[in-house]
Amino acid sequence: MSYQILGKSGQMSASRPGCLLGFALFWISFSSIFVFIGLTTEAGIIFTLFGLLFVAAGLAMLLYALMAYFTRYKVGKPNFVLSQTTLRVGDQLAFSVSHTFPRSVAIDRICTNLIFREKATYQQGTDTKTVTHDHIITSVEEPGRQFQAGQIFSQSYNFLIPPDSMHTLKVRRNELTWHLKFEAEISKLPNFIEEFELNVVPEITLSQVTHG
Amino acid sequence: MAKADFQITLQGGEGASPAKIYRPGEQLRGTVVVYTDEAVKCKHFYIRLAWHTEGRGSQFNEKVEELDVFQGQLSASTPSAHEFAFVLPQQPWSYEGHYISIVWGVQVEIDVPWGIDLKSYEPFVLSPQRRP
Repeated sequence: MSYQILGKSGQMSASRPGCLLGFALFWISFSSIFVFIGLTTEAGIIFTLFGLLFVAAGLAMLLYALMAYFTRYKVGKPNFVLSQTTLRVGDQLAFSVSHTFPRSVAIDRICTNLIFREKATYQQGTDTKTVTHDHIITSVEEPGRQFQAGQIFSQSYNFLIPPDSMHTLKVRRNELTWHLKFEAEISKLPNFIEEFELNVVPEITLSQVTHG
Repeated sequence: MAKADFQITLQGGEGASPAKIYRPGEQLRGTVVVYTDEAVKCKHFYIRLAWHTEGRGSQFNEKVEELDVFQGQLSASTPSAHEFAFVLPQQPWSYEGHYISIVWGVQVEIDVPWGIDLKSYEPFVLSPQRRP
């Protein structure tokens, strides 16, 4: 999916059900080997049931990925426009979304968040773990409603990178990043999520600098 | 094993406790005075400008600048004083968050041959001037 920055198009970082779908298929095929061995050899019922448990987990992942695809099918491809993706601390960002719904869909809530994310990766024994914490800086919300096929949704927002905030930083196993997250909640289906990474450079907007 | 008492004094800056605030691009000047309880052979006396991450993520350290100010014998009776000056870089700014913190500081390390190195650290805050 694409977005536009001052008329130029580019690729966005988005929720990717395709990755989950691929992983689920790999998981199911790998787990099925154990079920096959359990059924064709004298490995026993416990071995087969254990394999089936993993197959079931794979099927759950597959189902979720397919539902995420169905969400995208229902909603379609909105058009997003960002005024810029490289900003200074204190800068304003204009964001707009316009969309003609291809199908009738009931949306519970449409939310756009400016997020400052901390992502830390660490070693625990032999495992590598990653934790993230989202600081929601600004949140704008549109009430949910029933959109009919052909109905247009269009909104524009202005976001401010707070003057007392931190810039983007990515070093080994520690990341401080800025994101703009568009999220539409549809009941009984995974949310429709599009996320744009913003690069906030270590500079202050001139209007924020104290003189003297 | 020798013990050392370090006194790191940072000049200028704003505020006092818990750490002084300096601006990117500013010059950081200071003095290190070390008192040892016995004579110590010093292979290197390093004063470093450095920053590191703290928190949940694996620690990341970056040495921005290093001065090797002395090599020789540190006497127990006489304190050893050394001045330093660093030009502070533009980034990263100091930060204290939920999982990650960015901490700037002046590191002092006495490289003792065949012994445990003597170390000290004085943190400071690197932050641009912002409108209140």
